[in-house]
Amino acid sequence: MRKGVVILLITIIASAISLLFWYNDIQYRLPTPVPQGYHPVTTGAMLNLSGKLPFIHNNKPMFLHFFNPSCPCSRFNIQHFKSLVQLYGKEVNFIVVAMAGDKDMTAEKIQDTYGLAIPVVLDSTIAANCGVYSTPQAAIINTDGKLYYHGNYNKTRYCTDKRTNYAQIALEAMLKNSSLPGFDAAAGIAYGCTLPRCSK
Amino acid sequence: MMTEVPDDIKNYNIATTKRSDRLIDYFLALYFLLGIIFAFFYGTWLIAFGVGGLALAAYYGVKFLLPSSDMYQYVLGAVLGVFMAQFIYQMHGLFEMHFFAFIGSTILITYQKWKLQLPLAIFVIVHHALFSYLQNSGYGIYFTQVGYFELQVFIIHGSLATLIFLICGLWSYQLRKSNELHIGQTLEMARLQKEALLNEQSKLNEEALMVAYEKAEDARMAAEKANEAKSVFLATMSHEIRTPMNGVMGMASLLAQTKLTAEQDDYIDVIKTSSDALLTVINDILDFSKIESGNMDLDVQDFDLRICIEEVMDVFAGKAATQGVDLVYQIETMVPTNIIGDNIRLRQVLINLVGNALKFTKEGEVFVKVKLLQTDGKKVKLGFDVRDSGIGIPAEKLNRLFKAFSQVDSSTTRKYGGTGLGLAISERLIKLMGGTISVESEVGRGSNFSFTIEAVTGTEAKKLYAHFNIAGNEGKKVLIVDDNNTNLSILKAQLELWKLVPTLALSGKQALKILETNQNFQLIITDMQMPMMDGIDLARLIRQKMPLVPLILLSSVGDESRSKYPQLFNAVLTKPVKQAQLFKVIQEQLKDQPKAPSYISNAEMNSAEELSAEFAVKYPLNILVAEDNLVNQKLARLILTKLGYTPDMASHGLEAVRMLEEKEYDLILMDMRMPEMDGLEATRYIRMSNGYQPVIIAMTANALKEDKELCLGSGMNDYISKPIKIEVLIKSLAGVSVGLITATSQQPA
Repeated sequence: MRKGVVILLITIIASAISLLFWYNDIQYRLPTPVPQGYHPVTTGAMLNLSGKLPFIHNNKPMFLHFFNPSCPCSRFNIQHFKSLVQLYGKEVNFIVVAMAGDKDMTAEKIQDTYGLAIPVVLDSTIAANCGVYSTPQAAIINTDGKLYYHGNYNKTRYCTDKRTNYAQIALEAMLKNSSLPGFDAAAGIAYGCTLPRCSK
Repeated sequence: MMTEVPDDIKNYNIATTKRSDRLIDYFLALYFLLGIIFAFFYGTWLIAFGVGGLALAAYYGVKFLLPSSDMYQYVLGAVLGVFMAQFIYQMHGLFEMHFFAFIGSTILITYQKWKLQLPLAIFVIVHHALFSYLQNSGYGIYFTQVGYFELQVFIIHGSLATLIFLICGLWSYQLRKSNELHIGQTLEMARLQKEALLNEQSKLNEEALMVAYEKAEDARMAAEKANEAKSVFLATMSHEIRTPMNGVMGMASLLAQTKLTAEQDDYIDVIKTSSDALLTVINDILDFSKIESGNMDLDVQDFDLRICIEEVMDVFAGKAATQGVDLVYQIETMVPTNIIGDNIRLRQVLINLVGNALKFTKEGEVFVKVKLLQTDGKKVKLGFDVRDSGIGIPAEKLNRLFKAFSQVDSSTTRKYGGTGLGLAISERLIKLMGGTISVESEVGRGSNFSFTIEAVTGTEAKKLYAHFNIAGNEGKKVLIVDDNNTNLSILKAQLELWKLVPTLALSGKQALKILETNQNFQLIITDMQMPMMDGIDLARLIRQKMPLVPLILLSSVGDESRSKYPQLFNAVLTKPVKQAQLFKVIQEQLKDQPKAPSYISNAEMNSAEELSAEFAVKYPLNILVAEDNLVNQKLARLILTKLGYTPDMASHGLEAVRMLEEKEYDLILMDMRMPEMDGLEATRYIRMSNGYQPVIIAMTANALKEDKELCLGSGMNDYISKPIKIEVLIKSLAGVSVGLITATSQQPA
């Protein structure tokens, strides 16, 4: 009798644990819900970001990294982002657009925390201008001020699949003055945290 | 086959489990805490509390539900794997989190069970394989920082992990074995120590035992020496007492032969009675001492049991007659005629019991019965009953009977005399003969002493009178007249065995009545002492009617009336009647019927020769007496002179040897203990010399059996114990003389 109870208990617990793992995994696997009143911004559109971004006189394209310190997903690919900065920092102006985090969050604090020697902008409206509604997301603006690419960095959260390094591929294409390669759907579907606060 | 685990090892395992459980409590708490800490990194709170909590619930739930089972330990293995998975998940596939698999594996060593590694190992490998497969299959594991898994890497990881689990399992196994071995060795050591202690104790005991044994041996030797000294003392005392007793008794006997006044006769009687009593006391004490000191050995030989019984009857026949008590005996037909046993000691017991019975019986009878109780091949168990119609013994005093120096009460000693040793000696002698003695008694009605002995059927074929047929006389009628029922039934049984037809009469009057109607009797046997009408009166009346019928009188010792009426009886037999005598007499009387009375008496056989000088004429001998004691010298000279001899006297052995060289003596009566040269040495000297060889008879107060053997061993021909009984001496002298005459007549002319 007791053995039966024990077997039942173990079965229930094992199932519950599996369910928990599954639930947690599936939660991050689902696309970020599109917010109400969202206005999509297509690539090639001219962006009006005057006054929102620091003025840099070097006539280089801009790479905007939408980031939320309180969003786990933003932390997943920070290493990948940093590697892009290191690779293309001379050719591209990298700017971190930090979403609403803690109240006492400052640009310096983010720079110190993540070791980023690039500008950090604390203006969440930029995301809407770029058609971004989750973090982490990338937006590449060419020298003409047009949106060249906005979407995911990679199919995987840690950017472990080099074939799907969408942001990097788009950046290189832009630098080569090539047209934006045709990405699969995964490049454009947001999976990260919602804005302005992370609900995952 | 299940091997029995020793309790100590079981206890050790229980202690190990308890200790490990406590340790695991801390570890699980730490794991849970780690889960919470890891949750801070990526906000995996649900996982930290959910998975961590469920893992703990699984472990403690099983432990609670099956406390006596070790299943919760196997669940623990899986739980540790779950925690590892949780931590990997929480840290988004952080490679270092895999170390928790190995930490869990080492934690499990605490239980010292290699099997506990299995659930963890299986979990880790399945987890790794599943996620690798999922990742490689393109499903994509969200929480991982690795892009893909290579099979080679998986195999290396799996092998190394397996190796670690294997090593941890091996370590658990070795640890358990080592501890069990250690416990086993500790137990063995404790056992050996205990054994050593016991051995030491045993050695000490052995030494103590040896000391005790040596002491006991010393004590035994001392006791043996004391016993030997006691025996020597007894022999010396016996000799020293018997020597003067010889003088007293001998002189009293001689004095009785002279003319004395009635008063002097009384005095002599008292002296003789007292001497006899004193001698009995000495003999009793000597016997008792010998038995008590273990020196009493049985002299086993083939003997005729009936003769033994009849000799006892002879001893008491006179006394029984004087008291008017019937002394009767019966030996059942199944009892073997000859048995191998100690004739002397059996006789001693019977003499004691019959003597006691007569002592305490004033009227009635003393009946001795022998029966066969048991046979086992040649071994027989005989039962003896000595029944009397005496005063009896009170029940409460029966148990004191066989104790030494104990009579029924002190008044008994005063009234009846005796040392109180007789029954004690008898009891011990019977015990020596392999039997037991018991007594039944009723005050005023008499006693019955029963005893048994074990013996072997004798080999010497003797005449069986009991089964003899009186050839040609079968069926002849015999009238038996006796007032004693026992006697009547014994005679009836005996006569019937001889194929005769007995008719019984309890009195003279009844006998006459029978004869009035039936005169067809070929033989009449009558008792002498009967109330109203005695044997004489009855015989007279019978003779008036039947002058030719043979009449046999059963008389008592000392009864002189028989000799006064020789014309009345054809034969007179002394009671108790011996079977052989009765057979001969009946056969004689029935053979040539009818015939006139011709007096035959067995008294002839028993009558002692009177001291007369004619004896020496009839049995001529040259006698030398070697005796150092002057009183005894004088006594011997007087007896021998009265018998018509002229003995020479030697004061010691050397003188006897010298005198033998000068004169050829037919007989030397040799004392054993003498100065200069004792009797034994003198005999040996004589036997070794080439000179004339006389008959040498030892005459000594040394009454022990060993002395007799010494005498015969030294070359003596016979042995007479002091105090010397004149009858015994006369018998010996006659025997020697007849022997010499026979030898001389057989020599070639």
